[in-house]
Amino acid sequence: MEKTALLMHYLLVGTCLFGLGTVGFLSRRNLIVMFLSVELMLQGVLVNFAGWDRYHGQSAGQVFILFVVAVAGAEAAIALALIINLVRGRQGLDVLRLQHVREDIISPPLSIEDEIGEVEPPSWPKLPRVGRPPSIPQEVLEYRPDV
Amino acid sequence: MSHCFGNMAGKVMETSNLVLILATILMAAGLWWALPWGKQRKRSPGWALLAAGLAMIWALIPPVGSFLARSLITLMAIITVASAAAMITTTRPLYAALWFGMAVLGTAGMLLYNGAEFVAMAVIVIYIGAILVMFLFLLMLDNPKGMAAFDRESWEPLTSAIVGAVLISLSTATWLHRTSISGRTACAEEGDKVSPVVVTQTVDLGHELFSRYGVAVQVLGLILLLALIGAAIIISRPLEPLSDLKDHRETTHAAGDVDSTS
Repeated sequence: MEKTALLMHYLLVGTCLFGLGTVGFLSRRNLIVMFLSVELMLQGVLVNFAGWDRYHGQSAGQVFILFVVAVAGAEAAIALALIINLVRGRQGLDVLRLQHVREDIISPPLSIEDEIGEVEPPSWPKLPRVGRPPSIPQEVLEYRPDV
Repeated sequence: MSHCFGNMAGKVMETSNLVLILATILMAAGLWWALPWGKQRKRSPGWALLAAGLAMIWALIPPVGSFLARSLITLMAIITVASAAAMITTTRPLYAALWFGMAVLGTAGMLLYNGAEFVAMAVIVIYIGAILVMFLFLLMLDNPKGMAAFDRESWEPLTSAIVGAVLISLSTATWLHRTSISGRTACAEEGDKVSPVVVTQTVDLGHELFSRYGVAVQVLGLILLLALIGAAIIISRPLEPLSDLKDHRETTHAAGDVDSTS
């Protein structure tokens, strides 16, 4: 029972990682987050390999984990080159800007301009029109609502 | 081993199927609610639904022996899966990268628990040390303002949430029914004990890697070399700018209109 239960825990975690990675890859629009989702699916496979490795008591699973990690490294190098190229050429990480890659028969899902509104800017203090300029504290000047 | 699978009680299978279906619905609803849609709203109900669905599947599998082992595995699994869920639902790519690093750490913990100490360290070094840092650099390079519009909206959140939940529960069902709880206790074998972790497993791994899988290691080195060359070639040829893309789109739209009217 022990061995099977341990294997099942590993299989379940691997399955969850794979499924969540699939959701991320299907639904996100950021190229980098999509790539990280693919890496998440690879993590699920790694956990699977580790579980079966312990179950059978061999080290073949670890060898395969090393292979998967090496191929993920190669994939990351290619993906980084592609994404840098795309960012330089298209000004952005949005996959929507790459929709010309699709077949011409398929209609575009959304136009580039059809994006939701921007984040509203932070409310800055209103400066008086006359007199000395007020001293703005440093934390207000350095305030960044994002990242 | 096939005789072990025959004497499963039908009742248990039915209950676990029902639990799986309910967990699928809960997970799909939770993922759908937690994914960004472009509108600001509270994400916590989605998180709660997703956690409830995952906990229901978790309750289906038999517990590991000792309390310490059980709590360790549960802790690492919670860290891993929660980080993965946070990664795919956050609207900020920088935080997504950091959550991915957390998920990798949880995975490395699970590998370490299984006695794969070298592989665990290799995963940490390669994923967090190399890949993640590279992509953090790229994020900083491209999108210093963060919170872009396309990050706060997702493609078809409902469909992808359903696909993910069904994928999780279907692939769980494949092995859950194989070694069902009642089926395994009926004919538990003597060999069904966890083999102790051998500390010198790295030595065995090295021996196996360079004797039995020697050719595969060579091929892997070749793949890495080719990826390096390919990345250099891709980087050295920039794409055409965005204005050409607009022209291309307009021409294709015009052609499509002509086709539809004629």
